[in-house]
Amino acid sequence: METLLMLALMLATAKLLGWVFERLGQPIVLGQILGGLIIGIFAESTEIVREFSNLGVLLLLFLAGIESDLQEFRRVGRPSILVAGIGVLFAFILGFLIAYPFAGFQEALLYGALITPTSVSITVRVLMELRRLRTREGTTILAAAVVDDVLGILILTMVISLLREGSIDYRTIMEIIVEVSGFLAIFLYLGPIFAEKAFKRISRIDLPESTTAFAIVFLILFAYMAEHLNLASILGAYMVGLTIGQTSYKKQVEDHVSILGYSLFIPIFFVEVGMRIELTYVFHASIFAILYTAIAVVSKIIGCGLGAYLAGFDIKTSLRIGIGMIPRLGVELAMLTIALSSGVIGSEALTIAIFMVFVTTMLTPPLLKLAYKH
Amino acid sequence: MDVFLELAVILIVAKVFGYLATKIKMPGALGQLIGGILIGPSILNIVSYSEGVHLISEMGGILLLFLAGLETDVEEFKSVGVPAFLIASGGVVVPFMMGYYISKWFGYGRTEALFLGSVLTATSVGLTASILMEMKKLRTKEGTAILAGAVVDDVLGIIVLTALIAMHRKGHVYIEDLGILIGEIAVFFIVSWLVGRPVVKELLLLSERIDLPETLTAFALAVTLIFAYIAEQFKIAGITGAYLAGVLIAQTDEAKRITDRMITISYSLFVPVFLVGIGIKTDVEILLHTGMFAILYSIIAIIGKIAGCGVGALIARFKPKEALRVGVGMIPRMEVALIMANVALTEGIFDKGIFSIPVTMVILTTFVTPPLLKWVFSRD
Repeated sequence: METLLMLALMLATAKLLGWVFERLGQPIVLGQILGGLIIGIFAESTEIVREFSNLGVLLLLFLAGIESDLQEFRRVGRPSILVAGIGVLFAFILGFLIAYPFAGFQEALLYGALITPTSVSITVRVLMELRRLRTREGTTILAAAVVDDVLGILILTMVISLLREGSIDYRTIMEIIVEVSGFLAIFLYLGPIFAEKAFKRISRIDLPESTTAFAIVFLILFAYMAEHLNLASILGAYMVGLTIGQTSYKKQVEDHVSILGYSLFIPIFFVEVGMRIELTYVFHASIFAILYTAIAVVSKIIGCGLGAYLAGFDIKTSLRIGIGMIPRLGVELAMLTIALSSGVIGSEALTIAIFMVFVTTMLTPPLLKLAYKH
Repeated sequence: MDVFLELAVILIVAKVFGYLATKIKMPGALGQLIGGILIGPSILNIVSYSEGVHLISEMGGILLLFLAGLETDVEEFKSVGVPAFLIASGGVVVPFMMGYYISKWFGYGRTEALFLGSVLTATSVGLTASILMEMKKLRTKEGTAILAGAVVDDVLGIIVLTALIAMHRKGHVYIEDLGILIGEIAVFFIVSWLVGRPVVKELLLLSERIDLPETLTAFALAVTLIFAYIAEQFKIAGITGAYLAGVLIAQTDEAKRITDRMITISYSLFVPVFLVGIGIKTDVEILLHTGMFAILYSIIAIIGKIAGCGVGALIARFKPKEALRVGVGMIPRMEVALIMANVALTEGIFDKGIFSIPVTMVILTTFVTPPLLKWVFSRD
């Protein structure tokens, strides 16, 4: 029964503090993490709450997958791939290099992977405010953010998989690449056809919410399968979302799963992340936290900016795109919990990464506005 | 097995077996129950019932009662009034007494017997409603009486159960204290009505101003969980609190939207896990030992409702033929009975052996109702 009360308080806190932050023009998620930090002072998270939160991670990735529009993606194509690709590469390499002296080889790989994805919701809000979202750089940023999620998840998957194999050599890397691309190919080519047929049968079941229930079943099964192939569960969750997004059941499944996600499991996830923060770590590892955050900012500006420049944008616009790609939020945090469960990095990584998340998201709006002033 | 994988298996079983049940014109819930028994430890032993699954199943029970509360229309309640109340009271008192005495007679202790009696009280009218609708007999005098009677008898059943739980938790079962106990429960209801109603209303209004996704639903969920928690603190069953939260929210303007979303949340995850979970917890092997009694108990469940509701209907000036129809329509037991049995199990009043008796009763009453109902309604 205490668990029920805990869940209720976490929910109420998530929505109230999320609202306060929204009013302050800050990302909702930051409010929810802060709420978790406050609850964390009074109560500790339990095993069951953590299971709820893990389901939240999977639902979050599933929804990210189902929302990404492959059509849009093909249209914007080349520039967004350049922006995202080079941005991810720079972030990964620089993140690795900066973490190496502090944390050692294996952990540094994870630190590098963790700063690769971008969450552009805050950028979108600022661009809308500036009435610049419907420009070429606006659409490029939107599309790049999708590519960037995929690349981020892939890199994390490969890193985790490498660390699990134990030995890091040329052959293992090749094996993992083959595995991951096989997984992707199966999903992208066979997935939509299979899913369409499966859901057609399922929709004949005359019970309430059968399609939603089976969407959850697929989500869990493929997350589990990915996990068993030594890939990360979030890759499975994301791919299931992406696949269902290609079928005619997209709207129905998306609507219902987001009700389930946003009314319970996803807010619980963000609050639970906040509850895990241990403030003492921030002061301990302060130099590393600051350097890591600085690299997170710089690598995206340079990497994504370079990508944009190569795609034919002028220097000023390239800089704007680079800045727009700085913030890290949803997928980043989801990846973080997965990285933590791999056991390679300790819980201090959580605090450091959340520090980075806070700084990058809060830094972006003023920087972006500055870049548009000149 | 991993918790999530367990959830996936349970969901598949729920929907597949529910589908098979609807194919033979039985309620989906029955299929889910049987599917649960099949994968449970006593037959296939596929899932172990872990703590996470347990919590989701508990929340399923809470959400079911919350939804029942949301559907309770206080105004309509007042208008059908007297006959429904007579039918429901007869249908609560008679099965309760019969269930209690037969259990005592078969050697069960006083507490177990009281709970076995109380499980027999609440009708789940969904099955009857769907059959009558098919026969185009729902909008008859008997149909309306059955629908209204079932709502009243849910409430009466919950009150009986709440009283029993409170008695059990106080550690003694004296009839003399019943007055004080009913007083306490009444105080809980009145206070939560007076204080809860404005607070809930304000909270929902506040949530309307917060434009984050699904804030309204999240708040409704939080209110339900908190009511369940507070009810537990008052030594009242958590499901009673959830039901009350549903009734309170049904009074607000947001009721419709909350109902839609709660149905999505409940039926896509929590309720199937609850129903299959009941099946998993049912121990078939023990049932074989107590088989005789389980069957007798089920017969009592059927006769008790026909007699009790029938007499109630007769007093309300129904003709004997109509009274019989009403009585038969009130036979099926499903969700509420299972929730009650589940509460008794978690309270430690029922062991697994006793728990399987009400489950048998639910399955048998569900199977018996459709043919009986067709028979009494086609006899003119």
